[in-house]
Amino acid sequence: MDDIWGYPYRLGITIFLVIGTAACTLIFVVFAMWLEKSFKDDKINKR
Amino acid sequence: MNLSEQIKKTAAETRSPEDTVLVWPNLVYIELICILLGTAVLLFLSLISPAPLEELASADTTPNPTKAPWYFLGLQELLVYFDPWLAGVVLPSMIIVGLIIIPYVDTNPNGKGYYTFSERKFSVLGFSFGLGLWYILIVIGVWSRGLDWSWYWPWSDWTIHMSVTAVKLIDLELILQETFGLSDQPILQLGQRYGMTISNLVTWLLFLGYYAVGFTIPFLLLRKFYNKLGLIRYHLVMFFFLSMCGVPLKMFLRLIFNIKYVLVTPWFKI
Repeated sequence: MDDIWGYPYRLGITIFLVIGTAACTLIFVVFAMWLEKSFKDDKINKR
Repeated sequence: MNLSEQIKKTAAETRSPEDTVLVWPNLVYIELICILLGTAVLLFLSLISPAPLEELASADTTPNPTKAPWYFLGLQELLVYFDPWLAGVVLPSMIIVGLIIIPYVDTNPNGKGYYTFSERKFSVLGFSFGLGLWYILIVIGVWSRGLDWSWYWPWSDWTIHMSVTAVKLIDLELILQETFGLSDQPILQLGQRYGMTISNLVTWLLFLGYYAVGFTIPFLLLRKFYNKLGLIRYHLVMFFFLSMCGVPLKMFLRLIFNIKYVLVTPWFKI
């Protein structure tokens, strides 16, 4: 059996892509949630 | 609520005067501080990370790899997975057009003038995913691509060439021919250059099926989403959303199954 972790690193690159994209997305979403929480007083009261 | 009613609903109308602050000096001072901080950070960055001009370019000694400026490395990285026509022209154009149409397809009135995630979950998640993918491609281009644009880990020896023959890519229609024994003879001649085989027809159906299924599932399961957007806006949003999701999907097909192109025609390859 070939070394699944060896070159061309297909599995490694795939895992890197999935985790990296998920991590970046999470950072942006957490930032959006933090903005909402921190500036909730600025929200104009709905009538 | 129409636009004029929304404009009337400003902070000045809904808040008492003692609950508001003046633009000058309260806001302008904060902006001034931000400008000074921004300048200081840029100055610091330029000091710790100099960008000197290199020697004159020579056709005899071309650098390996030739890397674009960092902000274009995401696009350059896409060239690994897509045809140059697609990675260099179509996808950037679709990103720009997709961003331009956002205000025209956005029917959610929430989030105007204040930050919110809970009231705009789909928008924020969709945008964050696209931006996250963009940044991770840049990260890969900057820190993981070495000689011959091969993948190098931080602990790899970056001076040794990787074996370029280690990756054997094959078109999806050839995989279909081998796996299911489909004929490679044209069943339909479209012009002089394009003889469509059964396997090629199946790849067309798979490609169009991806969009067809993607358009149909939210229509059936999230009818409120469809009703809110209306026919044209729904299809625009779903087309760009599915295209965005198709980019990593094609990348995984290339990485895991060594598929070079999903769809091949004489004029374009996807």
